[in-house]
Amino acid sequence: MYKNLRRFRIVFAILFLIAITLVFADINGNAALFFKNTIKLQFVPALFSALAGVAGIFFILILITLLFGRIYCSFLCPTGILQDAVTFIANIFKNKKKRRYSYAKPHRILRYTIMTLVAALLITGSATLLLKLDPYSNYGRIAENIFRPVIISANNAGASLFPTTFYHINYQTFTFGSIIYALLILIAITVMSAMRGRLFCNTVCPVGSLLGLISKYSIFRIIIKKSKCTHCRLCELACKSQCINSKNEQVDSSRCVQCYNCTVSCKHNAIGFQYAYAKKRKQPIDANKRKAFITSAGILSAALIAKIFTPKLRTATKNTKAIAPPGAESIDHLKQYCTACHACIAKCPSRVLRPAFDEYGFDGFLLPVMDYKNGYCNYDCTECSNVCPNYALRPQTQDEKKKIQIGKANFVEQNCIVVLDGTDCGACDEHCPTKAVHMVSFRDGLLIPEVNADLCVGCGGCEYICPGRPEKAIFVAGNEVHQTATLPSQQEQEEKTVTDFGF
Amino acid sequence: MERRNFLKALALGSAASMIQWKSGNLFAALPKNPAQPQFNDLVAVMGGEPVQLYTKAIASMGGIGRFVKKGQSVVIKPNIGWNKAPELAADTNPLLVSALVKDCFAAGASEVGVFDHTCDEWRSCYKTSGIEDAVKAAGGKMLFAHEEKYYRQVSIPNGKRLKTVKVHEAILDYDVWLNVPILKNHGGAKMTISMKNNMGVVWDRRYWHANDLQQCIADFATFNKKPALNIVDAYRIMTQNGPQGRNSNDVQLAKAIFMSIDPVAVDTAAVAFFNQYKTMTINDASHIKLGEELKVGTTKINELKVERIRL
Repeated sequence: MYKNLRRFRIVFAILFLIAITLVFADINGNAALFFKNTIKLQFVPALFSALAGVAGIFFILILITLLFGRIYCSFLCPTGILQDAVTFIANIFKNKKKRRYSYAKPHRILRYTIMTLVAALLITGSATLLLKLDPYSNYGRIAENIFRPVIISANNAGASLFPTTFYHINYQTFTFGSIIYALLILIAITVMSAMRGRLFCNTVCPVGSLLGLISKYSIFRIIIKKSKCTHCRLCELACKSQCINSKNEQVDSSRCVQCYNCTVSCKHNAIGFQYAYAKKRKQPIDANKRKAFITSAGILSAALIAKIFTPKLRTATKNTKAIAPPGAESIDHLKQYCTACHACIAKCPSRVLRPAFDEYGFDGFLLPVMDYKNGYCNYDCTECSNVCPNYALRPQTQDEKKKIQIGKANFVEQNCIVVLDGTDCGACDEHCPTKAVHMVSFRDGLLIPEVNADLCVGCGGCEYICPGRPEKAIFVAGNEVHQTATLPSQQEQEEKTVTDFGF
Repeated sequence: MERRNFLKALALGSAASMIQWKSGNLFAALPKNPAQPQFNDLVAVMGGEPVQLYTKAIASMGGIGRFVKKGQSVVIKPNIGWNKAPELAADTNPLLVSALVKDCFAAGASEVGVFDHTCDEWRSCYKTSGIEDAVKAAGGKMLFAHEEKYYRQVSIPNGKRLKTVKVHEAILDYDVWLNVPILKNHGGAKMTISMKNNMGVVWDRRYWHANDLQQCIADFATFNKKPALNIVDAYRIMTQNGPQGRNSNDVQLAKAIFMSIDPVAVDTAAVAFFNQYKTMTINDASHIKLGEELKVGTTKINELKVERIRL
């Protein structure tokens, strides 16, 4: 039975990892569209979605954990699955002896300190630490910042071989810092999992720590049957979480990620799922309770400390002109709910979104920011806000999105071609979807742009196309809190029937 | 001239001279140049649906066979600049493009490619405009034009401000180039018709905007390879807030089409037609007269052989 369960876990995990990778790395977009809901099954997105009032998936994930433990970590978590893949590959190069794990003591203080800090910052309205550690978001960034460029390069190689079938893609919107961060995490995870299995999940990962805490109370757990156990240590040697102590017949269920490798290794059927609340249970209960108490006290006090300090951080990073994507509502809202998984960046067809470096301040590192250097936000497009699994970008219909003013265009007359050269231009007006930028009489029959900021949605069409040199004559400054744009007036014109050619 | 074209011309020429030599004795009474009837210079048709308008106008121009010969490759350049549905008149009517593609194949075209260097994101433009589906259904193919690598540098020896420019490879490599703009007003160039539509075959449009837009438009019209025919779609026209438009209020249902080999002439005619909806002169859209100064064509359409057809 466990053989099949383990097989199912492996097949499911591989397929799921491929699907979720395609959400980020599919350059064509069809597969990304097909699998886009896989990211909504992730724990942190489910948590944020619960905070936004859509709690179904969150409750299911919690329920599964309460029933069977950290199923999420082996079946759904892309970083977890990636680590298992690395472990598998690393084992090919290891000799039999090196492949063996042995029981390791838990790093409780490290784990729960990190988790407490993350929670405390979240409570005070900042996801900045969570986003750097969340396994889903990290995997998203690895796929978007590293896998995607690799796939694009492969596509471009294909495009030069078959120029009429494949088209060339320019990877325009990258942020060096973001690639470096994704690369560092990838290297860290690779090294950790190649050497020590699921070490990352049981020390650094805040989701692993939280689910681990819940798993301590799960109803069915992997437990060693004392009557059958011969203390042969096979299960312990197979445990990549290093959480089985064969000598004491103990399995640390807060670290067990439900991989079922141990169950298959046992020759005597001595390890497997058991109902954990059977009467004869004998456990050091008080130790657990004390820890839970300490943890919650820790969270509360850290929250208090963070509450005092975050406003200071906030004021230090005010007055940014950075433009947050439509649906973000405000830069504060983005900082509170976005974990920078970069699904929106991967999805943006106009490639105007890229990871921020310090545009939002240091606590906004990696968050999506609009950049009009290589494109502009399409008036009819709502892709980013509708792909966001965290509700950091709230879902928008086309009509709703057209009313969101993410920033305002600013015209700098002395940089304008019409003033400098005395020739027609109108590139900005041409690209303005609302005619917030429109042409008015200047001199000698020339027209010059004028901005009606109320109509402006901040799409950046004007800024992108402006040929002004060396400085652009028109640019968009972001609204720290998004505002409502006035919809363009209907400017009715009579339907005219013309019967003549006019010449 | 390309070697292939030169050889073709040589073969045709020698064949023709042989025929003339043979037939000279038999049909000595026939007029000197029977293969060259007087074609119309400019055709305007109004009062029909897109396909009807096209069919009538192209017949009046002497049929597509006048421009597309058997075995030739054809590139069609509609306006697909914006991610807008056909009803909003920001892009050329897909029914017209489809009819044109089919007609080219009927004339024996070896392949028909369609592209535009779009303003909005290219895939959504191709899709939303309805042109991609129309072209594919008609057997043609959409060409990629969204990256600089699809463009090659050429020189414009007669240009005043525009001396060199990167042009899409299909314009340079395909045998026949058909220009199919839609009639719209334009915030920068005042009007966008056939001459302005050519801005979509070049890579760097910002350079034009920065270096006297109107002159650059006229300059590019002097490029030694020219559209074999300019077809102005005026089924729906955009009379205000062009070239992108805001909503259907910017659109008038004009149900017309204009065709000419001469871009200056067809633009002059289209402006005069447009002027009945919204005040506009060719002096405002000054690239048209600048084109005439560069001998691209003529604004004196009254001196041309014009056919006006009402359906």
